Amino acid sequence: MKRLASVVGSHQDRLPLQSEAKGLVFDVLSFAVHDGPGCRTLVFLKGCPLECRWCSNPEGQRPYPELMHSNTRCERCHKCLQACPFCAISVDEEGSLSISRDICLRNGCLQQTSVPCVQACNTGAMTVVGTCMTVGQLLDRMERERKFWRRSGGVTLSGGEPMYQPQFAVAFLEGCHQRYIHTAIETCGHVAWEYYEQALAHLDWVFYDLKLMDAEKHRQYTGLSNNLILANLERLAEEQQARGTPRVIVRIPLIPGYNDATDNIQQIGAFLAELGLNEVNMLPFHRLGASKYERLGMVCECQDLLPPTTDSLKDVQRELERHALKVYTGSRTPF
Amino acid sequence: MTDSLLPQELQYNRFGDYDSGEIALREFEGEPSSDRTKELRKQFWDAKIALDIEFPYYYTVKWKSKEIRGLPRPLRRALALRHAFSNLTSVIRPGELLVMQKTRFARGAAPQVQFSEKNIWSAASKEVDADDLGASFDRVTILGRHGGNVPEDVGNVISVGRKFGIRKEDLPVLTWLCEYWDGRSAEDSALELERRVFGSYYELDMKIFQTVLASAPSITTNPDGRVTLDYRLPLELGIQGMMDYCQSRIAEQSIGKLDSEAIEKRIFWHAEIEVLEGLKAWVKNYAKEAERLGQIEESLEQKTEYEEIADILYWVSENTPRNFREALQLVWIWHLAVHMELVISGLSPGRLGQTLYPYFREDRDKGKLDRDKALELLECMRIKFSEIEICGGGGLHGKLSGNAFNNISVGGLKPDGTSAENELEELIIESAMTMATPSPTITVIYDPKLSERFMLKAVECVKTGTGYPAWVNNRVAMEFLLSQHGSDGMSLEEARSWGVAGCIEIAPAGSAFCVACRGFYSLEKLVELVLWDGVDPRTNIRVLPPPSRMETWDDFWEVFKQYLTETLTVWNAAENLNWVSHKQNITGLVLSALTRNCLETGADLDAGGAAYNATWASPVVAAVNAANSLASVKKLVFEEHAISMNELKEALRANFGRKSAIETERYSVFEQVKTESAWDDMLAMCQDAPKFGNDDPYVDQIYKNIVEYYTSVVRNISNFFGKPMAPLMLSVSSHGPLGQACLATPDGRLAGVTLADASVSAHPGTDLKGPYALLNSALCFDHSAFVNTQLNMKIHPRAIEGVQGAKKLLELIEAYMANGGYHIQFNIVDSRMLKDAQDHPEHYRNLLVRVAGFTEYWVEIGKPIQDEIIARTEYEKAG
Repeated sequence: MKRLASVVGSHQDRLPLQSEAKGLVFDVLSFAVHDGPGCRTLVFLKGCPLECRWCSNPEGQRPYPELMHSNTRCERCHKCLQACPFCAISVDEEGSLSISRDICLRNGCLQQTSVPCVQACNTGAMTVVGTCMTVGQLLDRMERERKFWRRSGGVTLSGGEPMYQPQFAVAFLEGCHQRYIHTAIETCGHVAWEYYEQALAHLDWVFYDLKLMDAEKHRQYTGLSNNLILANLERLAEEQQARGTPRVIVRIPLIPGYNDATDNIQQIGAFLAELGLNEVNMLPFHRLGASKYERLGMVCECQDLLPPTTDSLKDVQRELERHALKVYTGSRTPF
Repeated sequence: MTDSLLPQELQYNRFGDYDSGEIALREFEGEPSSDRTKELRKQFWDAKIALDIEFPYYYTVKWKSKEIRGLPRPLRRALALRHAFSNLTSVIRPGELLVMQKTRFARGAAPQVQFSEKNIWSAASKEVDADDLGASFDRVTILGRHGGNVPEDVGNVISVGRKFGIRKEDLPVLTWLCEYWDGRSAEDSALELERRVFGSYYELDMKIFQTVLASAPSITTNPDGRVTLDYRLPLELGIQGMMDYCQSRIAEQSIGKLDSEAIEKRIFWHAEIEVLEGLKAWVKNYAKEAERLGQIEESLEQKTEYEEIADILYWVSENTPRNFREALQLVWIWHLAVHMELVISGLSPGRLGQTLYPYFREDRDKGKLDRDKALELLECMRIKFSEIEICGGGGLHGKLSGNAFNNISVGGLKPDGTSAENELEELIIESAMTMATPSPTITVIYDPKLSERFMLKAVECVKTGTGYPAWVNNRVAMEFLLSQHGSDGMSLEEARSWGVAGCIEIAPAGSAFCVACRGFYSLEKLVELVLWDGVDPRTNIRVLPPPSRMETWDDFWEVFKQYLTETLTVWNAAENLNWVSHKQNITGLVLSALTRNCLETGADLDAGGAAYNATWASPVVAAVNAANSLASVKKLVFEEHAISMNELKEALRANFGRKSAIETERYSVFEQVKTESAWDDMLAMCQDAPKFGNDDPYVDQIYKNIVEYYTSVVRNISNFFGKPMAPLMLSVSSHGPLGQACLATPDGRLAGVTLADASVSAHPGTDLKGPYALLNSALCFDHSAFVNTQLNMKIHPRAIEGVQGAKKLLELIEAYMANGGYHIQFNIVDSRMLKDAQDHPEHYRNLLVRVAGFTEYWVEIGKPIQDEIIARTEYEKAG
């Protein structure tokens, strides 16, 4: 699927940092306990520059609202088909629904508050993922979550790539700090440094993804090269050394057959050791997101991939530890 | 240990009912600490639930005898109790450290025909007596069929109430008992009295039961309970000492000053002496049996144990305990005795860790009791508590699901305001982990002064997935107690000493008059009455006159309030009237001895002898469903005009074009068998209307209005002693049968589907915004105005893995409590539940699976992946 221009403004725009800045959010999750210190709330922003083959949040990739259709909840009543003014929905020989999503996009249906096919569906099989909110609205929502963070929790921005909506993300983070809310971000690294610079002023923790050291393989598996990602990580490490903040934890999704080869791990280990970043959270591949692909009308390349074995996890951990890194596997984190 | 047909997540095991199936995926798995306790547990699992006629037989023989049948209350009863206790067969099993049991069988209860005989008779004879009020409720009750239950006749064993087994040769005795008590039982006399002196209110009361607006009256089932005990007198004076005390009070009386009040006291003390003599004889009989067993036993080890038991029993039959084991044995004897004299649930040992601590501490300090031995004793205690059964006919079991609610409270504060945690309480928690039986359940009284270490130990126990401990808020409880009993002189020290009664109720420690409840009142059925102008749509019985106007939302709400006031007032007032029969026939005399200040005052509980006589109204159930239904009506019918009232009622009658849950045996709103599509849109609208549990002020405000109005109504109703009743909201498992008695409702719930449980838990599958939103909804009103609120929450074990995870769960609890929440309890989802979630995803719409940075609902994950998760997580545990 071709990547179209973001509907929420291009990277060149510099909107003033106000509470009216708008963003596209696809989920808010409470009682997140492995995404920073304390009990937190995760906010997921829609849109990402990468298209990783193993992505577990495929609904976060594209920067516009999308339809999700669940076959398990679908009753095959065809009301959605009848309700659609643009004939974007059809039925194949087996009776399964087929949605021409380019039609939805072209007609801007999903931007509206009331979407005809979603309204018509009685079982909740047809839903829209991606809601437009202002920074003010999102901050108010955080205040409702706040009483459960106690003193050590806060908000973690994730996605997709949260910095793919830089004005919104930075304004939100600034708003959080103004309200004494602890902030963390989960980022893929492929972001113009100037935006990170603005965000860093309001960030306490950074979870930074690092998948592959080889640029060609990185492009092959994620759609983009890793030059910017590596460069940013270097600058981030410098920032951290200079100012003592933010706390940086490198996240390595471990995908068997894609990035678990010893040389890749060894290179990552050496690179991080050199930068002085010594905390790594290794995330074993999982396929919990598989049904989301189906609901988005996408194909998951890693559909039949099995998660890493315990032994391979141990091997990777050992290799990283050789570089004097602290390795946390999965949800076994010290925070 | 019932294995209910209700969907897993709605089952009773929230209160600690242990499912003996495999539970993997727990972070902590307990195993009994010794071979002895392992064996005792196995016997418990193998035992079937028996009905034993011994106690009521001897009771009745004495009660009707010529010498005493003319005597006044409570002396006649005391003599009958003495006779019963003195004549029971003693049964001691090898390996037991704590002995004495309710019946001749490991698990069992007695048919308490002096309370109610009709329900028991129809259960035993399988014929329904037309006068049996419990029948309406029984008809809608679906019970579990497994574990210790005896659902059908087998061989020489007859099934009673689909739960108990009675030997065929005992049946003639049961028949004789039922025939004798027919017309004489407390239930019969209560209802006859009500019929004669209650006027037209009697008819309204009957209609309330017939339509299952409320479950059967408590006189039929269990009138007593929701109380904590004060073991002070048995421990400090001993049985003989208590008899001596009563004698001394009698001796003090001046013969020239014997007015009616003094005479009543004299009679009461004599009655207590009779009961104490009965207890003494009962214990001594057991001591003799232990001696006898010791003489014939061949194994030297077991022989020695029997001799030890005999020595202990002989001693405690009269004296104060000399050590921890004797103190525990004596507490057990008294606790058991209350269970035998009454049909009582929610009889809680209270702050047992405080009561027994001095004995424990002394033994430990002197090196006479090591930790392992103490743990073993506590595990034995758990088996003993779990063996207690209550017999009250099928309706009772639909409400209680086999749990007797013996609740031990740990934590909280000492009277001086410091943290009350101690080593014994830690061991009590430990034994709950190693010996995960249904009873006793554990509650942590959360106070910020508790140490983090103690609280994390309790969290460890939560992680075993048994459902306990529950957590309750000390500050909210103290606010309630001082507001409820302050005018009766409750001090700050007494407020600090409180313990949880029943499952979660706030009660003074061992010093209160108790009324379990008249039954459970369904607010969802009330919504039905409002919709159908005062007629119950299921039975077509007219309960109330039609309203004069129903044109606007304000009219609807006014009718709701009016119908609530009328029915609730009559229903609760009838409790007082019924209590006259309780006082006449079935006063708790053992219970009175264990309640401050009965012995000192010279009056039993029913004569006002307790220090605190304010009680609560019978509980209401399904406030959440009612709020959801009212929200649908308000929004769809009156504000948006999306549906007309008649269209809505038509859809409800047609069950939205679905088969009834009763027919399909699927009790969740999402498991539906559609018969026609005409109402699909309407069902979707009703289901999508605002639901409690999502932090949505639209419906949360309605909820608040309902519960606050309910409070104002009951505060205007006097209890037996003239005190205003306090509001009580809980369901136990009555939300099953009460739901089965409702048609489809405006909240999008289908006919026969179980209602929401507890009091602030969302209706299953409707809380879609995560745990904080659920908690925010639950916090929309003042919890300290209520005897309790109740919230059950599901959490995935991965979310609270490790010490970090435990601390985060604790933070969640603390946040809820700091913001005024009273109670919270957790279902830690395990693989057994995940497997169930595979088969019934509709029950688990809101179950989240968390992995760092990733989000997904379990039900959306395809089966192959789910299998993998289940397998992988166990695998990870091994790695």
